[in-house]
Amino acid sequence: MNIVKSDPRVVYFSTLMYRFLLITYPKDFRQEYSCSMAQVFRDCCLRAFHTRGLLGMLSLWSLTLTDYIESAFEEFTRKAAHLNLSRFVRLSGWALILGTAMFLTGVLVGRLRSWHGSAFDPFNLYSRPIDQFVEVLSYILIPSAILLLTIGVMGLYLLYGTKAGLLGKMGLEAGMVGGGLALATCLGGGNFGLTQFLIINTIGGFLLFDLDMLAMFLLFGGIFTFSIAAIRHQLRSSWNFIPLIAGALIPLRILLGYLQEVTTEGFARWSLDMQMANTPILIITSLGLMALGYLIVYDAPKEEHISIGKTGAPDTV
Amino acid sequence: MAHASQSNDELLPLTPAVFNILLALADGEKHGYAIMQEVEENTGGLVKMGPGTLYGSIKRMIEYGLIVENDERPDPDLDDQRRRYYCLTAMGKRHLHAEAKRMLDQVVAAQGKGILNEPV
Repeated sequence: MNIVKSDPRVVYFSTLMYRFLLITYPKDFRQEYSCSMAQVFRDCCLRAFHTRGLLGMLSLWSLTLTDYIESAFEEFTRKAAHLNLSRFVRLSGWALILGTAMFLTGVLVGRLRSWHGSAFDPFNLYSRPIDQFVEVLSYILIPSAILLLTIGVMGLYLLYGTKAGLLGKMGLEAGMVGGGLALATCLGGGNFGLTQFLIINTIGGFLLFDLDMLAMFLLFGGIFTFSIAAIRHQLRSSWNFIPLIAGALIPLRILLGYLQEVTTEGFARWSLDMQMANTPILIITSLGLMALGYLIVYDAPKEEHISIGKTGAPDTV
Repeated sequence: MAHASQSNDELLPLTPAVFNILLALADGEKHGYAIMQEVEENTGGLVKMGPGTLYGSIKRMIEYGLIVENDERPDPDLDDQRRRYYCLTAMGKRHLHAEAKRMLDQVVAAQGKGILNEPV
């Protein structure tokens, strides 16, 4: 198409060789720009040949080869980064859904446990055989669920972080920090934070400044903060309230729980109401998180869309 | 994850290739080879872009909403109809202005330190 037989022979063969080189660019880039690139290269060849002859052609080829290596490498790197990124975002949506299911299971299974202390305490007369199984299952389910939830928040950050503004970005960053902290406290032998809080609702002073409570507050509070940005900036054409459902109730529950602890006597009746509210809170939050996970999967850039170049390139031009 | 809504600050500083392409398009639409020639002229031959760098940059600039391809083809008698013409968007103009101002501020800072007065 760009090769003209009436061109000087050296220009003709140079253009032919350059078209062969273009085959090695990523397919989408090649389909979009190879004709234009070959045409520009031919124009450059004609100018170089007519102004400086063969020496000009040699000089042009040295510049072109360097340009070819650099730009082909860059296009492949960007494409690989894009593919990995879009795949990660989509998987993070599934991670959020799976993590929520595991979290819910962990909490519900934990309710089967006896309320009389650790199942591993051989001197605990009240412990039942099922307690040990439940405790081990909780040890596996809860940290895994928190890890998956944190990956889900990372996916949210990658997908909507730029559009969510400073507040939304900071919320999701806090969410990721909270997820990491929750995971660290779980693996470090913490109290399983929210699980224990929702199951036992201990009114002991040790919960007041509990690290894993702080972690959970950051994780869900981060999602709540993001939800404000999502509604304010209308990140999607619809369903912008979903992050609010996923993130609002647990931070509120934690705050009210602390308030309840500080003023227990005055809030005795309220305390009972709040214990009753734990299950609906958990179910509503879980539904919100699962819906949010689905939105991430749905909104994640599709690999076939890369060819039109609308998404995902690293933030440099 | 579309980039078209990014503010000026998020893309600054621009790479030399992107700045020079924006500058070349500042006075009207151009095709790839014309952009390449203008960049070479504007920089006194210091910046020579190959087709790979040129179209790689163009691709990303379209993604970021800095330039658009003009669908209207010129009169076939005047130019090759296969050529693709590009022009600045409002966002591209804002970025060009912001980057030029950023560079000017640096020049002023250099002037303030008397660097431009010193013989080299």
